[in-house]
Amino acid sequence: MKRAVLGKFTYIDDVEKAIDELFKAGYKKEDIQFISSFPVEEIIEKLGGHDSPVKFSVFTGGSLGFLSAIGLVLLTSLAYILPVGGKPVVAWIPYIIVMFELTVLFGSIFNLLGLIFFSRLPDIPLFLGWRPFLPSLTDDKFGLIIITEKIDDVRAILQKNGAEEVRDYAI
Amino acid sequence: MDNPAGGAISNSEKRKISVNIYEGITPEGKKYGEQFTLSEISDEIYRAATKPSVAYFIALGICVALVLAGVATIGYLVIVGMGASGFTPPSFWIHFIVNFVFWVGIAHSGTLISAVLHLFRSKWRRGIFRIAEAMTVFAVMTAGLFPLIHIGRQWYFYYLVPYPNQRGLWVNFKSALMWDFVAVLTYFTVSLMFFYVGMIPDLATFREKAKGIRRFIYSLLSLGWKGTDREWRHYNRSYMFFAAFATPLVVSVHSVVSLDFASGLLPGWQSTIFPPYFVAGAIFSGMAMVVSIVTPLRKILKLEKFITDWHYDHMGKIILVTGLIVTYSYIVEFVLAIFSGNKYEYQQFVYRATGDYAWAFWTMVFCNCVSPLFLISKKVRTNPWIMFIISIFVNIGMWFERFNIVLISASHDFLPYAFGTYMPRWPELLITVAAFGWFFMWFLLFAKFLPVISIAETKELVPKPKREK
Repeated sequence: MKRAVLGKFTYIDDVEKAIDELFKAGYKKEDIQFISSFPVEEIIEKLGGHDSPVKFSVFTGGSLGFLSAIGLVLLTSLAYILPVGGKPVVAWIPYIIVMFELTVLFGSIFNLLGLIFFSRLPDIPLFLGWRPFLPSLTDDKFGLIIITEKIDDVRAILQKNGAEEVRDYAI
Repeated sequence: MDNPAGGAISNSEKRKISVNIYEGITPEGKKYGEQFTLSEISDEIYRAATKPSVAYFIALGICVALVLAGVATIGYLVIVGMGASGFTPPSFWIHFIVNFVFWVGIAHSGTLISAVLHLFRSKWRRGIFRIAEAMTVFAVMTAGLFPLIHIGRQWYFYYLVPYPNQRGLWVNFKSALMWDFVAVLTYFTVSLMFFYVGMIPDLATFREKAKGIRRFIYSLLSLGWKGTDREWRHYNRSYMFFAAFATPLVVSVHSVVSLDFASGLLPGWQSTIFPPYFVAGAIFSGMAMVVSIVTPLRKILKLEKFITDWHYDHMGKIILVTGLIVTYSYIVEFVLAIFSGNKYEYQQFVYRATGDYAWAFWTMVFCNCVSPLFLISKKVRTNPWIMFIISIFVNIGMWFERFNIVLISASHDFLPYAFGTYMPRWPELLITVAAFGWFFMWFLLFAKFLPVISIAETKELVPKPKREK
């Protein structure tokens, strides 16, 4: 049965070595999770790079906002004819402002939703305070979580590379 | 220049230190991040958000009392009528609109500072950007109150909202006031999200340190953030998109606020210079407000180690540059009025400088054009309390700038028959002061519940712990 093995580290170069050794042992990027209280570029790069599908949700939101704005200004102008300021009933130039604002608004809302969705937040047990977390991992330590059936092998790799504490738990 | 290591220094060393100032060299010769350990950052910033002192409660009490007085005054205006506030012809666009533009201006620099400096990967931003973002959110909350107070019948505000209704009415999107409504609403929503997203990792740190109900609230707010590489990957990208959206948004929103005036026909308002002039003025006043807030806050919360002379130096440079742009704009306004051949425009600017409100005009000139010039000196820029005094002058000057633009044009337009003068009565003055109480009340609550400095971003400046040195 697969379990998760968590190793706690103080030094970032130890984490890098442990990841390299886990790769050599046949583990893939998706089997390994790194935990830190701030973004560590080199590890993020090692475990999957910086690209994120959040960009697609931003693009979707921005496009939706732009199209909604066109619909809103067009339909409201035609539903309630109000000739003012010597402008045509459908005056596109002043409407550019509304289109820009709604593009940004919807793009930003979808950006937040994309972040939450792709990061798999909220983590319900932590969100509701049902499950404790390791405080030191939001402080000055780094964590590596490996999903594996070979608990002893992984434990040995982590300890060999400087893990201060190793524990395993059911997933 | 002092040698951090002591003793005489050569010219090449001077140049090296001068370049290193961009890294925030401390008096001990360390880079900004090198003076901290990772856990010290979490501990110190969490400590700042706990254990409020007696002085804190006194300050909060004063702010709440001001807010209550402001609410009572608004109630009085609703019952008695807006005439009690000097809301008489020709001065319909008066004090409350001055306050609206002032607070919107304050609001505009926070997100701009945070977003633009993030895009430029500026390191000094990290000490102050959270405070600037909070300032933005609370300033928009303050600004948004004034159009409501100004309309006098707050229950008709929903007329501004475009929604299908049985009256068959729709709003006029060709009106600058509707652009303003859409722009400010968008700005508030985006700034709030930007502020919140930036705080999620820090709220997770607070969650692990707090106990009881505080812990539960931080758990909810942090969305169960763990800090995995996947979360960071999406977070970094998402934050970058927020910054990319916020930057043009800020420029657009204060430009739109300026169009409230520039698309009007009154002398002194209808000018193409307004959008860039307002944006520069907003950054100028907002940066000054950041200094006004940060200086007492770092002292009270004992955060001097996190907000250093390095930050003041950069903030001073921004105030100086934007102050010069604002001064240039004032000159251009006069030059345009003199050489345009438009006699109404000409008389408006002569009246501003020599008429009934000349005192307000010259106060503005002194505060906005003269006082920032002291910031040319690095000694001034790196002295927090002198910076604080200059920032207060700038805030006063920027309030009077709005007073000059909004009030004088409205009360002194084309026909001498329609000219009038206006002096604020007690309701406007009390509501103006109450607005500061409202703004600082939120700020005090923020300072004791949320991380005032970004923990995660400050940690990024600390050399990463490595076994092999």
